[in-house]
Amino acid sequence: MAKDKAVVQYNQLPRPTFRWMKVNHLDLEPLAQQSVLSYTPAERHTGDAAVSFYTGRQVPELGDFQGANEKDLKKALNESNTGCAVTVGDGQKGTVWLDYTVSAAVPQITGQLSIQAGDHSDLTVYLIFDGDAAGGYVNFLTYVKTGEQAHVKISKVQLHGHHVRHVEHRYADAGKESTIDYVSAEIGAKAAIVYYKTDLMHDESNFNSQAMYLGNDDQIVDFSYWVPTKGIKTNTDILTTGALLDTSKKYFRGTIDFLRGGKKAVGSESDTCILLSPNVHSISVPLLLCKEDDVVGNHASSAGQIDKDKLFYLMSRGFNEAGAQLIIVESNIRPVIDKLGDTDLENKVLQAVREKMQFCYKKGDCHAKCTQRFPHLD
Amino acid sequence: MSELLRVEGLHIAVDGKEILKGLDLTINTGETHVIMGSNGAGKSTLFNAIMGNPKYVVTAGRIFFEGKDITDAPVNERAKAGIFMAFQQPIAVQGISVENFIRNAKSTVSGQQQRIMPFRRKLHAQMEQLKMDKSYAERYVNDGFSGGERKKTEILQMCMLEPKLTMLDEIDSGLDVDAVRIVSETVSQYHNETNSILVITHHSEILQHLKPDFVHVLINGRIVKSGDASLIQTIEANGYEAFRGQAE
Repeated sequence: MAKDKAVVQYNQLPRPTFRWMKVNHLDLEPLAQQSVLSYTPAERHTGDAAVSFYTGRQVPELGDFQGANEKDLKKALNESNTGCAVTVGDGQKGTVWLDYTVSAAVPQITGQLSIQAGDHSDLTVYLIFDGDAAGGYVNFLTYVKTGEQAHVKISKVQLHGHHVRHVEHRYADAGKESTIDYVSAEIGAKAAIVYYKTDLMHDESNFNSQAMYLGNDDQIVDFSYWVPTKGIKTNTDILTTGALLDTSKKYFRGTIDFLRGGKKAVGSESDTCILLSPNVHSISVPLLLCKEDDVVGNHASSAGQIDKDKLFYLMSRGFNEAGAQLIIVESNIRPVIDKLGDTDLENKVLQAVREKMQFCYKKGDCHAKCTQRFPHLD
Repeated sequence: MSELLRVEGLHIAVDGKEILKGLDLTINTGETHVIMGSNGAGKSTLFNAIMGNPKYVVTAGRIFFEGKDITDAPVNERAKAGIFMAFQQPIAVQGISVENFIRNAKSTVSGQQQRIMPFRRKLHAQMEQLKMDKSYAERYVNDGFSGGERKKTEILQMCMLEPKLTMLDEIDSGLDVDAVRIVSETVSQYHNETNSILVITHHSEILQHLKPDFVHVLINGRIVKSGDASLIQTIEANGYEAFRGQAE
């Protein structure tokens, strides 16, 4: 980005590395902020979950949580136009669906979602972001706090149109022996920026995150994770996987921070990317920081073109090259999609993936191949 | 019997190194051919070349299938024409179930959408014949499968896709005695006067059921000897040493 241009920095690495590597943060042009309109998402819930909407702030102080961008985080905390509180009491179980739709009427959403799960509770939240509008902007804070032995799963599907900048700041504080599961499908938006911080300060707390993406055109997908672990026998498992088309870019910054005292902690992070065009960029920074000896940390990153042996195997079963590529991309991301846990949402994501792949090949001789391009894989 | 496959003076190079050095082979419909040869002779190279693997570059010679020159045809067009290769090391494809994969492959090679229920009934019947648990149909293709299960899945694909020419690349390797019998019986039942089988093997067990019409000895990129099934006993008794002189 030109030096004289104003830029906004997103997803700053918690422990920056050399500047010349250009991985410490993401620079984007500032987006014109529009007046904040009141907004209530579509909602339904089952079980014991209690859902309420509010204006103002219900999320507590978040300490050193920096969010994807400090200014945006402050705005989401203090000037939210849509607040939602989801709670399940001790031993309760529930499921909540929340659908935030950007539209010409509400092009910008600045919101917060506060999730509180009592001891031994089990809560699943399906978080859907969709819609499109010129100058679209979603600036969203998700706050999760779990009690002892609680389980919270957030399945997120982001299907915005190509005019939206989607920024999510997600903070979680995991209680003793509790588990926080994130499953995310980042498909849409011109720029999809997510910043996750999960504090594993309590013994035997667990954090699992699986995210898939499919970038096309000049789309930017940016994942940033920071997981400080101080509890004993904590477990962290982070996986991102996806593919890039056209001139899209993906950044993965994963920092598992083994703090002193967090003995027998296990943490792993991996990032896999299929490069479907020579003009894409996949940048991966999986970091393990360690102040405690008695821990196990694994990190892996791979980016490469389509596996030629797999392509040959699939084509030997009759699929043309485009169809075989689709199958390979799907085979890479499907295990994450299958974990979303809601069949309708899973199908929506699959459909969006296939539409994107078709869009990619429209630039070529598509009509001759279209009938085979989307084999009915279901 | 009509000519199904004709390979003429085929030269194949991989990474600039010549592997096949002028190979000729003709297979008619209804025939079973066996290719035998020492390791590195070029057997799998021949299969890959017939299937059209782009890694295997044709430097000279032609391949004809049903009289049509397919030397430059893409892999999927060969599959659609009716050529099937059972891989020595089948690839795992996560994210797609065996049933969906084969149903889509069948739709693609046949050009007709496969209705779910009739297809599933046939698939389950074939799985039963192969002594495969039906739960494998729901699992991702070859993902977490043992070597034997992967080979059986290859044969399952063959049965469902109904190719005109089946190439079995060491389908018996890694299989226990029972599995070899089940696989060879299934291939034998599939085989009839309208399709042909081409087998690479190092073992004679699988041939007890397949009953080859022709056996070819491949040494150093060329077929140096062709004969009937009795050639297998000669090879088992004397090895390939006797044929090496003919390859010079």
